[in-house]
Amino acid sequence: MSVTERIHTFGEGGSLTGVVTLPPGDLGAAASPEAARPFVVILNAGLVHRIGPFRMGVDLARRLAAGGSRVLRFDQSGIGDSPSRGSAGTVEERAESDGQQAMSFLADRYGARAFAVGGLCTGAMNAHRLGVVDERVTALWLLDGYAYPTWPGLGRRIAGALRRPRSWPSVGRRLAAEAKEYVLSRIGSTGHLAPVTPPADARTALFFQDWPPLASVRRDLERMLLRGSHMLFVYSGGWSGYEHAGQFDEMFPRLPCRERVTVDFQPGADHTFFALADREAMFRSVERLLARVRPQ
Amino acid sequence: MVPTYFSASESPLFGLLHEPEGEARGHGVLLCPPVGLEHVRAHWALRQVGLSLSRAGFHCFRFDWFGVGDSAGDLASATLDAWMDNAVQAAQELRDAGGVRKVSIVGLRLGATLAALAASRIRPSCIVLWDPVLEGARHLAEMRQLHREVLSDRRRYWQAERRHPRPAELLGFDFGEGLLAELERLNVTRVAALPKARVCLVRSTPSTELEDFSELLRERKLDVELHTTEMRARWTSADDVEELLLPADAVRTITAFLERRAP
Repeated sequence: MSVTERIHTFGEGGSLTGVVTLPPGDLGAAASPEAARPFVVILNAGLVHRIGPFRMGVDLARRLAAGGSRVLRFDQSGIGDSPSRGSAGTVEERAESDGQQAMSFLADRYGARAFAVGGLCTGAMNAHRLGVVDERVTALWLLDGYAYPTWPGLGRRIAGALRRPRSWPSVGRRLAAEAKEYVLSRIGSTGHLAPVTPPADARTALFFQDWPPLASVRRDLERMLLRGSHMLFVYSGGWSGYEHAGQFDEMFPRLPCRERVTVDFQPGADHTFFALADREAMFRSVERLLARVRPQ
Repeated sequence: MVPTYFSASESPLFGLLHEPEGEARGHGVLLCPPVGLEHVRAHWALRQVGLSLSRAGFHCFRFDWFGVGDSAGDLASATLDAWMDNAVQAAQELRDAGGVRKVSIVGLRLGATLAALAASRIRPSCIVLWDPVLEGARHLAEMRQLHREVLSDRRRYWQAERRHPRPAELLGFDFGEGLLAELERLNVTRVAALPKARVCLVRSTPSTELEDFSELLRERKLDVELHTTEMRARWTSADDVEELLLPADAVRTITAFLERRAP
């Protein structure tokens, strides 16, 4: 017996399009053992529609469903097959609203009470914000989510540059840029851009997001952890902001309930997990998170 | 837009019907997407084609091949024969769901190739082949080269290390040895037995390959138009593997052709 998939339209005016993947033998009833498990929600990565880069959303959904989880992957408004709902509110507010509408649909249709929300790149940022504003989110899995430079990281880069004499002429320029990034991350928006080059049209606005200051992200993490959330952070080696296995604890030292946070640094992977072996390792990390949050 | 799953329940295919705005022409258009990485890049573009054609009064049906997009299966289990069956099933779904008898086809990249191969079973009025893959061996060679370039791109991989892709791994997908062997042998210029349809060849960059193909089709007494569009597709560029295709000029070209030529 294999997983089954259902296409749904839901949300305001039925404008959001998504696919639910159900475990083998699961008929999708609201009152069933499967409904007690967190419903996995996969958010869009940048402008890529709900199948995800290299179809990773489909592969991940089927794999998680084969392991017993119900999964939704859907297009937020203005992406894939979900039409834009105009320009009311910011991109971030619309993404939050779309995510909450998706969870409310799953609660009504499938009896879902808790959610494990995640995504890659902008999907991770949107999942983070959804977790902050909606207590139904009990687990987050963030692939190349927020990352900020740290003083120890700056030191490591200086030491690395000094070991490469040919790079000395550019060291000053790079250090200035690093210091600027560091200061900006502490006092306000970094104006960070996702590394994948977006199309040069109005849809670009869906993709570019300002990053909040580090202190704000820390407050969010504390809030979510103190209410019992579990979190997985996967950082690839192709992400401009994360360079060292211990960087998470340098960014967010002494987080409460740190034991509920898993950080998985995959330095050999690129940002979109192009190689199948890298994707496989990332999938296993998400599976381990779900195993932890699943009711026994 | 009405999304649906169709075909056999054990291997359902994803499809989406764009219903006509305003007065319906009673003519359906089947949109055949590329596969693998090019499918991901082209989703937005084909959606724009569907919207444009529906505004022009056509019923338009986008679907995903077996092992592609939202459809069941994976590429490693796909075959060319099964894909051609998919095209025939999707055309029937379009006829049933849209209540149309006349059907035309728009195919992009390998989707265009498969559309050409399945055309004799669908009997379309018009067929649009948009940047079609004419020779499978050449297409695979280009994909393998692109794969190597991506793996050695230091902007993508900050840490230099030797990477070992799986034997049939290409551009983020496992194509499977069987499908690769079939693609290697594919040559649409030899096998395409296009029925008497009006043919529109659309290319995103000037190339002699499509000019030669259009001549070949004319020799077979087919009514052929060749259009070059202003579109930055760059199918073989490592810088563009994650760029969504922006098809504005191609959408206009394809819509204008079908408005003019589809009865």
